[in-house]
Amino acid sequence: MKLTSYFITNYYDLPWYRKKDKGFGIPGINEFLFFKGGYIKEWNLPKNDIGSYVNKGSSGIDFLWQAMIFNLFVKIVYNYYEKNFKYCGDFIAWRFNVETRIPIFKGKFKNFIDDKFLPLSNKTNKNVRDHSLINMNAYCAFLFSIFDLMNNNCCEFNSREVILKIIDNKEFKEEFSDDPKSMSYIFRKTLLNYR
Amino acid sequence: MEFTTDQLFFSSMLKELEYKPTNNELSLLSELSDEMANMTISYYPSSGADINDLFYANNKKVEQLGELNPSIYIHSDYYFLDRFDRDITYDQILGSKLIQIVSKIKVHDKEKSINVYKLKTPVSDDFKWLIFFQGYYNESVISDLILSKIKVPLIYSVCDGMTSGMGGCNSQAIPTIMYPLLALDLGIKYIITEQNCKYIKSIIETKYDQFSTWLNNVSLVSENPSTKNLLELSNKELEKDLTIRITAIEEQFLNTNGRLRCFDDRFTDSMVIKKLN
Repeated sequence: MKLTSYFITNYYDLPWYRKKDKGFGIPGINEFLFFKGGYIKEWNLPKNDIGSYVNKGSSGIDFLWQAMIFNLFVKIVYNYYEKNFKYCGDFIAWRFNVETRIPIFKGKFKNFIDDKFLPLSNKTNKNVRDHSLINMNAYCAFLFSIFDLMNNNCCEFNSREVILKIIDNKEFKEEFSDDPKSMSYIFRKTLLNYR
Repeated sequence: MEFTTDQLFFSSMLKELEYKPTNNELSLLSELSDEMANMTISYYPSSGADINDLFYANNKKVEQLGELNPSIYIHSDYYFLDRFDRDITYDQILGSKLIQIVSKIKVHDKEKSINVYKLKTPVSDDFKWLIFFQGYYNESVISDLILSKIKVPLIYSVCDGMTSGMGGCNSQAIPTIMYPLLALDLGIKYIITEQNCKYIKSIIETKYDQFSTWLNNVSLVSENPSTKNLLELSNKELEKDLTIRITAIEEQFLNTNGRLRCFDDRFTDSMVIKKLN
């Protein structure tokens, strides 16, 4: 699993809406000429849409995991490595021919993974859970691969250092559930032990 | 010697705006004046609201700059933001890129403004200065820089108005492809731009008849006698001479091997650094 043009195109196509940014909100934003400041793109997926991804089988499930992991990457850089935030956004825009503003999921990692993604029907849940557990290492590798891609091409990151430093941060822990049975908890644990 | 705004290269512009600084502003401008005397200056003509240079025009991203690392970024654009949309401020554009405004002075009338910012960008621990002349012709800024003998070793120029089909409002305009002819006056050492050699050749082919006008405009601000000598040449000789001069400049593409060194959402693939001797 790597950051590909196919993934990025689909990620940017997730249904998003404009949300005024608390820090620099601009009422009546007008993208006149080259002005693009003032709002963030938040994406969300209704339960039915999540179901349709899951119904696609492993590719749909993997896409949803990748979307949330890419989202996690964006949040890490925005909140903890702001000096690299613009560089990463610009690089992604250039490499994958998308706009520099990266859409982010409106909630926390656990809100999607544990609350929206998994509570589908019991049968579907089992399929998603089984597939997710088998691929948990690959999902972790995906997060590392995004940092590595940036590190090689637009800014300096030591992916292992970054993730280990951030993942235990008190605020960032809130992205994940405390319930050892939850998928977000398992993902975090796997990430910490990832070799 | 006590600092006065007369010591600033844009003092005449401030006078035009009937600016009377407060003590705090005077202190900030004095600090800027000191910095201008000691630190590297970069100039971005026709910048619009683009602030990519604050992130990319430095020697960490563009290693070819060597020791050159700007602390003072001068921007100018005839387009005046406030004239079009009062809901959007330049400060908010800076904020949207996580740039912190430490101090700021805004001097303006209905048509133009001079904004002086002391900034903290997310990509540097050092303070940076940004002076943005909105509603001014680039040539006015260049002229004042030359008259004040201020050296600007780095030009960051993307999407020049004159050669991109805009900027026709000023009959004395100097397209940025002509800036190498100002190298001596301004102490230009490097130019970061999308106007690579291939682009310039196409401009020469299509707009060759305008070179004498442009050269004349250069001579209006330049104190370099050799520029004036070029005016003696016939159109054909001039075209040939300028073609040789402009296309002979050493240039390197910046964004090679998939690595991003300088971003512009319109021209990333064309961005080059030119080294002037």
